[in-house]
Amino acid sequence: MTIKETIKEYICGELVGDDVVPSEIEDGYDLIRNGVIDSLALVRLVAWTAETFAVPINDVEIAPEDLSSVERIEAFISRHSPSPA
Amino acid sequence: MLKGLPAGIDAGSLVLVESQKTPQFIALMIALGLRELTPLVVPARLGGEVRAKIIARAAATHAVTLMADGELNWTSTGQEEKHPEGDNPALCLTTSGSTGVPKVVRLTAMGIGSFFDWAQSYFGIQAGVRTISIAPLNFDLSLLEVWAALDAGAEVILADPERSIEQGYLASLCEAAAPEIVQAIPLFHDRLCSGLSPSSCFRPRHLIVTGEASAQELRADMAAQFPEALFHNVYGSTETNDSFILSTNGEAFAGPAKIGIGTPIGTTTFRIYEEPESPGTGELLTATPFAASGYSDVEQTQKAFAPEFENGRLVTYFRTGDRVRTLADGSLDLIGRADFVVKLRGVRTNLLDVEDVICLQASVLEAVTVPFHDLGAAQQQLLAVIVTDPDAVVNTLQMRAHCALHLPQSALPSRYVLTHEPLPKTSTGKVSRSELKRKYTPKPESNA
Repeated sequence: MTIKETIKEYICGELVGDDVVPSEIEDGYDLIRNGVIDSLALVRLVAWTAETFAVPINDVEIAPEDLSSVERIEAFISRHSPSPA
Repeated sequence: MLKGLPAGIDAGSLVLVESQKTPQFIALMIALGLRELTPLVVPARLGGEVRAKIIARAAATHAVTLMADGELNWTSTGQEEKHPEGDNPALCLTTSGSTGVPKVVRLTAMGIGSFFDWAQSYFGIQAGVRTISIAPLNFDLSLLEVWAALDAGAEVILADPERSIEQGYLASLCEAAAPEIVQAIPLFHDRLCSGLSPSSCFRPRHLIVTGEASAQELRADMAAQFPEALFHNVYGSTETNDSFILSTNGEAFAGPAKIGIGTPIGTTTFRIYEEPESPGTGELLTATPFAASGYSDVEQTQKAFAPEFENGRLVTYFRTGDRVRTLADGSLDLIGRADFVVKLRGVRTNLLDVEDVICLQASVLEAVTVPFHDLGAAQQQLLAVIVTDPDAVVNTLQMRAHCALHLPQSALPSRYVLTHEPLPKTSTGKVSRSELKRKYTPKPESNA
């Protein structure tokens, strides 16, 4: 599974609702403007990147825009993860 | 002023006007009334999207703008006329629209006339008296300080709403014009009081505080500044106009740490949906002769206005959404908002307004929102349970996008449940929010 697919699976399973399948979420879909990610979801998402991809969240600067779409989340993970999955 | 009306506009048509605080605008309002047109007064410089929504909700067929040169610019909105049966409003105002979608309130000539009679008698408003209008003309405060006054032949001083916050502006205006009646929200009473010197010769007869509770410190300042005045704490809403009043001298006004809303005005009646655990406390419902006939939207009206037979006559109670407590003398104390107004992300949010926005989505048949405390989240969250049309294809992702487009971020539900099942009801036929909460509130292992 690619990083993008893993991210989409997490978004569908944990943030959106189980009536949405990962393939419905386009890579560039704005998750913040479209109400998928709010401040609480952002915190959860960041924690998830730490658990799943070992992103050192205490050491990196995080702006909400960095996590506003699947492709941006992927770039964020790739930038900060010591060993991307 | 209205010599030539555009084609397609007839008596009873609803005409949108953007509030301006000028004598010319007041003349326009009167002229519209004389031609039996109903003004829908909205705030100046309203955002395009909200303006369009209001026009559609109210079915305003035309808009008219007063140009700088005094000419009128009429535009057709493309809306068809739509009047609920037997309802012919004389004036339409909008609610504050804290969630971005103001409701259009339809005020009848009879309700407004009854209010004028009460206000003119209670405050002694007549020819020769002067009032001051501080609020913009799209606010319901204008019914007393502008329209009841002009109806009685009194004079009205128009304060510039955009300057009223300036230190010294209201004080200078009041000292120069000497209005006898001053009605304002606490903020502007504070501006007025702090701008006057203790030796000021400005001596109004009536000081009316409205909109929200006033702090004891402000009341003490007002009482000290105006020792001979009568003070009034007025309670009401755009839908009901003023419905409760507490009138007192300066000493009793300044004394209590918190001031009550007093007793019903005129023939206003009220009831309290008492909370089982605290008798005398609960949501306030009022039935006033001044009340609006409802909103432009029939469903919104049915949610908030409840007609009942009482002693052989039809009485319509308005759900204020406010929690009150009955005091020992029978007067009421305002505690806060009832259950459907909650604090989300630090912002007071009317759940009914959020539900209205969800219902704007074409596939939605019914929507109910329920606040809950998510595990691991310090702040209260909102659950939206939405019944959708079985023939429509809509999912949570689209519903989130719809809400994000139409609601402020603070009011967005964090959890959505889409269903085709009817919502659970209580024995009185209302949606059981507690059952929905029990059924759909996230469990520890799920954060969806």
